[in-house]
Amino acid sequence: MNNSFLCNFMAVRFALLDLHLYLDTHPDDEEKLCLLNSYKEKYASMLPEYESLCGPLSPAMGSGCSWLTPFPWVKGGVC
Amino acid sequence: MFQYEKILQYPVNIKNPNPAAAKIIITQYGGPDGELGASLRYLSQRFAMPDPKLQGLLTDIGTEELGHLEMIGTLVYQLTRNLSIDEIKKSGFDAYFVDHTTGVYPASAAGVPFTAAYLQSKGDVITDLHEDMAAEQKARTTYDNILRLVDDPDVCDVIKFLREREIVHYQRFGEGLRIATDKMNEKNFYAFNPAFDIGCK
Repeated sequence: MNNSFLCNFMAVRFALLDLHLYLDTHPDDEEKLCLLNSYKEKYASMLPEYESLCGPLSPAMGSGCSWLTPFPWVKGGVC
Repeated sequence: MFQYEKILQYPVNIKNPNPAAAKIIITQYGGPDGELGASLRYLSQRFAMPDPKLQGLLTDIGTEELGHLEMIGTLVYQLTRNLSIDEIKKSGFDAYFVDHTTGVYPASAAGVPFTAAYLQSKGDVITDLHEDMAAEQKARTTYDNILRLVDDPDVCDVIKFLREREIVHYQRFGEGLRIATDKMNEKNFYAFNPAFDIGCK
């Protein structure tokens, strides 16, 4: 991946997913819960820039209204 | 419900077509230890899980497997772009091509169509979680074998990511099994099935 913003965006999404999965079996781990929350804030701050570059992630519920930007298999998940 | 997000879990950017590799990798789409079987297994078994932690675990891993299915489909799609008939014949992709052209179809590397017989939903938390741990290891072995057969670094990078997720899921299912057994009769985990024997929860 060349674009460092997109690379970071995918990394933050992955951190969120993996921490969430860890918390499924360790719901009392306060430290990891704090880490998850800090990644959530970071993700929320990055999402508008991502959607302005690549189009809406999920148009029915999000900001955009169509699927007209390229699908991820065409360009490898990085727009 | 389920909602689609238009992004891959991990980037797939294959520069060179390789139909021989696609023929092998398709097995993780619709083969015996593939991602379609994994997602259906966990998303079906979750209904019999006795605890919200376990229901959540199977929901999350089953959902992630759907994302992996999309990554494998992307690999097969990108590996079979812009092929000539000559390349299709020479690579051994002709047997797949005659039935599916370059469409992505859930089948094993040997061409056997996907079947629900690849998975079980036994309705018993101990039985199902043991199947899930075994399934993650079988998928990990399949990815190991793909890495033995394929040498394109763009492909191997994606396969290594997916292989690593099998190991993480195996760990989480092991923790899930511990959560289940801790809540059950410690003298005999098999004394009752919390999904069926009402009143024994």
